[in-house]
Amino acid sequence: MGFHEQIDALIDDTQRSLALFGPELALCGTIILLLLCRLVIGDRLSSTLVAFAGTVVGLVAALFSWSQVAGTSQEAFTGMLVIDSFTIYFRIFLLAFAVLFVVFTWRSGIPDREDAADFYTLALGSLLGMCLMVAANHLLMVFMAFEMASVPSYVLAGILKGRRKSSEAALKFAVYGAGAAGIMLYGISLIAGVTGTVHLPSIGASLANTMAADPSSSVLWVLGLGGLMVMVGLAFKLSAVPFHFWAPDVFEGAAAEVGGFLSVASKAAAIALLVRVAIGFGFVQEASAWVDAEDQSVVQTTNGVDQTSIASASGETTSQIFIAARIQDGNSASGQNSQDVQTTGADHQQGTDQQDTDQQSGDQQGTDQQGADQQTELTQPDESQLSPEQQAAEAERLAEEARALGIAQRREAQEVANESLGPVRTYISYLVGFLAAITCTFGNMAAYGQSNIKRLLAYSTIAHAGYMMFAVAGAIPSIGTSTTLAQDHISALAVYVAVYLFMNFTAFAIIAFLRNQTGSEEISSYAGLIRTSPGLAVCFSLLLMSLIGLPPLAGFAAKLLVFSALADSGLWVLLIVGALNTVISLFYYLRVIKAMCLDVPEEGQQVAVFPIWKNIDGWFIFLLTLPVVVLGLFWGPLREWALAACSQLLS
Amino acid sequence: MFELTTWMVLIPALPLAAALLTAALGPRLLKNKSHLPAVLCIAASFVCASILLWQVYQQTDDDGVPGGSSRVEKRLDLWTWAAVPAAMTHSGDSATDATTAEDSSFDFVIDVTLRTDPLSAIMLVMVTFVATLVAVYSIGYMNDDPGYWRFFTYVSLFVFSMTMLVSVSNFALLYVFWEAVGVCSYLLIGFWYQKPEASAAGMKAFLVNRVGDFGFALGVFLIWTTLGTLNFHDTEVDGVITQPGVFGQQVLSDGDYSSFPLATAGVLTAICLLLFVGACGKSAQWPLHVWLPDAMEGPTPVSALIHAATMVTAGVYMVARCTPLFVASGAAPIVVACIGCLTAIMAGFIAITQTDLKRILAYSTVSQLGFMFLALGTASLAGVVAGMFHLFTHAFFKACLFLGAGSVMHAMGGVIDIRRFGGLRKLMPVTHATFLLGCLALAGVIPFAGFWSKDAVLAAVHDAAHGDPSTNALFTTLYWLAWAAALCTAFYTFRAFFQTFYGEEEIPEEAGHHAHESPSTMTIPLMLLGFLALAAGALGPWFSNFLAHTPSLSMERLRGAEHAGFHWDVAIIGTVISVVGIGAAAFMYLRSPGTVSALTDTMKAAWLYQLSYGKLFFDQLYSVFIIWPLKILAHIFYVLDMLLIDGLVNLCGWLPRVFGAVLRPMQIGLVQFYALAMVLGLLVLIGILLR
Amino acid sequence: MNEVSLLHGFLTIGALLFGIGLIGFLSRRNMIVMFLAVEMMIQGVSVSFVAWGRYHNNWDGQVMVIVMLAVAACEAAIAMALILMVFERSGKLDIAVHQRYREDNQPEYVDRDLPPPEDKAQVWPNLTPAGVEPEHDPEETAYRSHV
Repeated sequence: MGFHEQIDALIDDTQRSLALFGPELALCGTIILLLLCRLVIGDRLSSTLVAFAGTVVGLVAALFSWSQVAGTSQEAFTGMLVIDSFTIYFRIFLLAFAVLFVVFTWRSGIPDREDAADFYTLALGSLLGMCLMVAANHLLMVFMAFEMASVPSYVLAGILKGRRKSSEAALKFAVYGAGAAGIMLYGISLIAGVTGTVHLPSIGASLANTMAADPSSSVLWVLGLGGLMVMVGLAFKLSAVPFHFWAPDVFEGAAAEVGGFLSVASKAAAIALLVRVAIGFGFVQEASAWVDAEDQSVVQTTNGVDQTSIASASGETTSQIFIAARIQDGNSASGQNSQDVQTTGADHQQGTDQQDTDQQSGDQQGTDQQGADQQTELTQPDESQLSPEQQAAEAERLAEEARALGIAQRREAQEVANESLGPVRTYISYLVGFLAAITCTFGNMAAYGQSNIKRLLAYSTIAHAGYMMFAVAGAIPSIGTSTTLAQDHISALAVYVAVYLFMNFTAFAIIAFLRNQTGSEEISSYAGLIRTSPGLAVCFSLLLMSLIGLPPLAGFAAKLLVFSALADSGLWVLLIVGALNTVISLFYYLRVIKAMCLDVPEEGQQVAVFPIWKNIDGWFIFLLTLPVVVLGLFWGPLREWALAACSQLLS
Repeated sequence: MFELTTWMVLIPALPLAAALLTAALGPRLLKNKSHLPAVLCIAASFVCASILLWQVYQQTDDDGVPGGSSRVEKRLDLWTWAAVPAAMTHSGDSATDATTAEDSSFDFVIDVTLRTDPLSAIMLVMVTFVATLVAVYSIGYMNDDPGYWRFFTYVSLFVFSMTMLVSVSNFALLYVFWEAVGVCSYLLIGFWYQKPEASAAGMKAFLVNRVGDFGFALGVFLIWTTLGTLNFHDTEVDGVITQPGVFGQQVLSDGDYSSFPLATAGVLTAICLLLFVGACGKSAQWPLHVWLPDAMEGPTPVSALIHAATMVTAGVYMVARCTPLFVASGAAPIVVACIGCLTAIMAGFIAITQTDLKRILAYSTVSQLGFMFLALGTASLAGVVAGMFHLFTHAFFKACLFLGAGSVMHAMGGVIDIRRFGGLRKLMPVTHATFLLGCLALAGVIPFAGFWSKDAVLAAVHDAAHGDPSTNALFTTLYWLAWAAALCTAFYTFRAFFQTFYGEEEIPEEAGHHAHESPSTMTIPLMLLGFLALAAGALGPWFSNFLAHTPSLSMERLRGAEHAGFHWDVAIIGTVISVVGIGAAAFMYLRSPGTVSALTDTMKAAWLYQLSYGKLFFDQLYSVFIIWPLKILAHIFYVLDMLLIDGLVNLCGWLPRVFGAVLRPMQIGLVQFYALAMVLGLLVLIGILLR
Repeated sequence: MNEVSLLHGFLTIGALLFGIGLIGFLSRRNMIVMFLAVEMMIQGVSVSFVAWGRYHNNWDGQVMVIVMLAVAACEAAIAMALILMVFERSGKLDIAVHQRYREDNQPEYVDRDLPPPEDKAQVWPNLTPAGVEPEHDPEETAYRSHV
C-alpha cells in the first residue's frame, strides 16, 4: 500500500471516527470557546453560561449517539478508542454529571467571576479525559486519558486561590499522582513489551497464546508485575487502599464542589477503565462484525509449534486487521524470534498486495482474495526465506484453509483461547477482590470518628470504591466463560455508578450549600438542622441512608445487584466482607443524621436556614434527591439500560 | 379510565398523597385544617373501594351456589421492583455454569403487583370505611391537639399502608407493609410521646411485634427457599406459566404443593407456623397479646381504627390469604384453632374484672380475634368465610364501641376508669344508644351483626367437630370452650355498659362542668357504625357467597364438609348464652350492686378474681420468665463485659476504633509517607504474586 | 550483539533509571527534586519503551515515548506552578512542611529540621552590560539597584 493510500485511509478513518466523537468534540469546543470568550469578549458573556451550553450540547450528542451507535461496537481513531454502548453509557453519565456540575457550581458560587473560565476549562478538560478513559482501547490511550483526567484535577483541587490549605491539597494530589502515573507507566511498558502489543483487545489474544504454550512461563511473572503496576495507577484514581492516602487530605482541602467532582466523575471513569483493562487482559475478543463480514481469519502455523492465533479482519465498519501472533520467548532454542506484527491499518478499500519492509522477516504479504476489503499480513519466522511467489501461494492456501474452518471453528478457537486465560482472570479477580475488600473495610473503619464531613465523605467514597470493585471482581471470572453472566455483573456496576452519582454528588452539593451559609464543614455544625430546614435535613438523611444501602432507596438496589453478582460468582468471602462493611457503615452515616435531627446546637452556633422550596438551590437538592428514592422503587429501567450498555462488552 | 385497575391504584394512592401533603404543608399552612386532605382523600378512597367492590361483585356469576366455580381475580402489574436472576439461569450460556450454580438458587424477583379479589375487596371497603369515619371523628376528638397535623399524617400513612397490605400480591411487599402498619401503629400509640406510659406502650408494642415479625420474616424466607417465589400469582410469559406462584393457578388446581419439589408437609407446616407467629404478634394472640391492652394509651380514634378494626385484623387477613398453605400443611390449622380458642377464652376471662373501659374493649378485641382464628383453624370454606365475616362485622361494632368509649372519655376529661363515672345515659344519649347497639352486637344478641358472625364461626367449629374423626374430640372441646368465651363476652360487655351508662349519675372532677354530649363530627360516625352493628349481619349470605369467589378459597379441598346451613342448635345456644351473660351483668350491676362487692370480696379470697384482675399475670409471667432471665443474662454478660472490657458487646464500635488506631497514624499528612505506602503496597502485592 | 542481549541491556538501564527515580521520589523532600525524580522514572520507562519498540520492530514504543514526553511536560508544568504557589506562601520547598491535612489528633511528624537559613545578605547577580550602556533613568535606579 502506497503512502497516498495510507494517508487516504487515515483520512477516511479519521472522518469516520470524528462522527463518533461528537460529545468529546462538544467538550473540546466548549473549552476553546471558554478561553476565547474571555480573551475576546471578556466578562460580558458568562463563562458559566458557555460551559452550561457546551455540556448540554455534549449531553445531547451523547444521548443521540446512544441510538445512533447502539448495536455495533466500533473502534475509532485507528483502534485507539472503542465506541460501544458501554462507552456511551458512561459518556452520558459523565456529561450528565457535567451539566449538573455546572449548574451546581453556578449556584454554589465557587468559581467567581474571574475564575469561572479557568474553573470550567479545567473541569471540562478533566471530563474530556474521563470520556477518553471509558473509551480507551489502547494502552497509550489508557495512559493519556488517565493523565488528561488527572492533571486538570490537580489544579481543580487547588482552585481556592486565596487559601493555602487548598494549594497544599493540590500539591499533595499532584505529587502523589505523578508518582502513581510513573509506576503505572512502567507497568504499561512491561505489558506492552512482553505481549508485543499495546492494543487492549490484542493483549488478551497474545496472552492466551503465551498461556496456551506454557502456563508457567516466566514471562507471566513479568506480566503479572506489569498488571500490578497498572493497577497501582487505577487504584490511585479509584482511591483504593493502600493507594488512597491522597483522598482524605485532598477532599478536606479542596472545595466541596471539587470533592464531588473527584468522588463521582473521576471514580466512575476509573472503574470503567478498570473494566476495560480487565477485559482486555482476560478476554479474547471476537468482533461481532467479524462474523458477519466476508473476512478471513488466518490460522497460522509456525515453527512446528501448534498455535492458534486469532486473526481478525473486521467488517465494513472497522477495517482493521490485527494479527496477534504469539510471542516467543526471546531465548528459545533456535534463537529465532517470531515476529509479532500488529498493524493498525486503516481502511483498505482496494485490495492490493502489500509489501512491508520488515527488517527481520523480510517480506510479508497480504494477499487479496476477492478484491474486496481485506488485507492480510502474515508473520513469518526469520528463517523462512521464501520467495514472494511462494509466500503469496502460502498465504492464499492459508486463507482458503481459514475460510474452510468456518465461523464455528473460529468460535471454538476463541473459546479455547478464552479458556486458557482462566488463570489470568482468576488472578485479576483476586487482585481486584483483595484490593476491594481492604479498601472497603479500611474506608468504613477510618470513617469513624471523623469530625469533618468532607473527610467523612472522603472515606465513604473510598469505601464505595471498594463496593464498585466488588462488582468488577465478581464479573471478571465469568468473562469468557459466560458472556451473559459477566455482562450481568458489569451492569450491576453500571447501575451502582449511576446511583452513586445521585447519592454522593447531592451530598457534596448539600455540604457546599451549607458551607456557604455557615462557613463550616464540621458535622457538629449541622446540629438542629431539622428545625431550621427540615426539607434539607430529610433530603440529606435520605441520601445518607441510601449510601448505607437501606431499602427502599436506590443505594439498596445498587448494593443488592453488586452483592448478588458476588454470590453468583461464588465469591462468598467478599460477600461477607461487603455485608459486614455495610453494617459498619451504618454507624457513621447515622451519626451525621443524628447530628442533624437530634442534637441541639450550642449556644450562639449559627444554624443554616435552607428552605427546600423557595429557591433554585433547594429545588436542585430536591430534584437530585428524588432519583435516589425513585430509583429505589423503580430500578428496573435503569438496570435494563445498564444491561443494554454492557451488551456489547464481550461480544 | 374507570377500569378496575384505576381504583386499585387510587385506593392506596389517595391516602399516600394525603399523608405527603399533610406532612409537607401541615405545620406551616394547614395547621387546624390538617384534617382536610386526610378526610377528603380517605373518603375518596372509600368511594373508590366501594366502586371496586361493586365491579368485582359484577364479575361473579351469581349462580347462587356458595363458592361458585367462577374465580374473580384481577391483577395489576405495576413494575418489577427487583429482578436478580439466579446464576443458574445463565447456564444456557455455557456448560460450566450449571455445575457451579447451586441447585437451590432461585431467581429473586419481586413484582410490585396489586391484586383484587373478593377477599381483598371486602377488606379494602372495610378499612377505608372505618378509616373515613375515624378520620371524621378525629376532627372533633383531636381538636386543639398540638400534633394535629402529625396525627392526620400518620393516619393517612396508616391507611395507605393498610390498603397496600391487603392489595399486594407478594410476600415481600406484604412484609414491607406489614412493617409499615406496625410503624404507623407504633407512632400513633406513642403519639403523646411526652407521656411516659404512652411511649412505654409504644415501645412494648414495638418489641412484642418484633418477635412476631421475626417469625413472619423467617416464614417469608422459608417460602422463598422452598417455593422459589414470593409472588402470590403465577408468573406468566406469553400465557405459559414460568414460575408458579404461592397461590397461583397451578397450586389451586393441584390443591396442594406437589408441583414444588422442596415443599414437603413438614416444611409447609414450618412455614405456616412461622407466618402464624407473625399473625400472633400483629393480631395480639396468646402469647404475644400483651401489647394490645397497653396500646390503648394512644388516642382513642387510633384504638378504634388500628387496634380494633383494621391493623390487628391483618393477621387474620394474612392467614385467610394463606389458606392454601395452611390447608396443605395439615397440622398448622389445628395450632391456629387452638391458639385462637385459648386466646378467646383467656382474654374474655381477663376482661371481666378490668376497670378501664378501653382495656376491657382491648381484651374484647383480643378475644374476638381469637374467635376469628378459631374459625380459620377449621380449615374449611365455611370456617374461613365465617372468620372473615366476623372480622367484617367486628370492625363495625368494635369501632363503634371504641368511638363511643372515646366519646365518653372526651366528655369525662380523659378519665376512662368505669368505677369513676356512671349513669351517663341522660348526659350522652347518642353515645349511650350507639354504645348499646355495639354492646348488643358484641354480646351476640339476635339480630345484631355479632350474632350472625359469631353464629357462623361456631357453626363452622361445630361442623369441624363432626368432620374428620381424628380431630373431632379436639374441635368439640374447642366448641364448648368457645361458648364459654362467648358467655364471658356477653357478661363483660354489659358490665362495662351498665357501669358507664346506668346507676347513679357520677362525673369525675376532671370533667369539670362541661361534661356534655360530643360534637356532631363525633356522633355521626357513631350513629353510622351503630346502624351497621345492627344491620351488617344481614349481609351474611351475600358475604359468604361473594367471598367464596376468591380464587385462593375455591380449592376443592376446602369444600371438604358440606356446609350444613343454619344450625338451629348453635343459634339457640348462642341466644341463651348471651341472654344469660347480659342477665347476670344486669343482675349484678343494675338490680343489686351490693352483690358485686360481696361477690368480689368472696372471690378476692379465691384466686379466680385475682387471676382475672391481674390479667392472668402475663406481664408478670413474662417479666419472671423472659425479662428477668434476660436481665440476669445481661448481668452475667455485663460482668463478662467488665472482665473483657468492651470486648463482646462493643465489638462493633470497638473494632473500627482499634482498626482506626492502627491505621489512622498512617494518615499523617506527609506526602513522603504516602508515596512510601504506595510503593510498600505495591511490594506487598508483588510479594503475594510471587508467593 | 544479538537482539535479545541488546534488549536486556536497554531494559536494565530503563529499570535502573526507574528505580533510581523511585528511590529519589521516596527519599527527597525538596519538591522540585521530587518532581525531577518522577521525570527520571518516566525517562526510565521511555528507555524501555524504545527498547521494546526496536525489539518488536514497530513504532509503538516510539509513539508512546513521544506522548509520554508531552504528558510529563504538562504534569511538570502544573506541578511547578503549584510548587510556586505554595512556595510563595511558606517560602519553603520542603514537602514535609505541608502536613496540615491529616487525621485529627495525630501529632505532627517531625523529621530532622532543615538547617537554619544562613543569615547572609542576599547577593543578586548583576547582568554585565553589553554594548553601549544606555542612559540610566535616575528614578529607575533609585528603586532598581540591579538587573
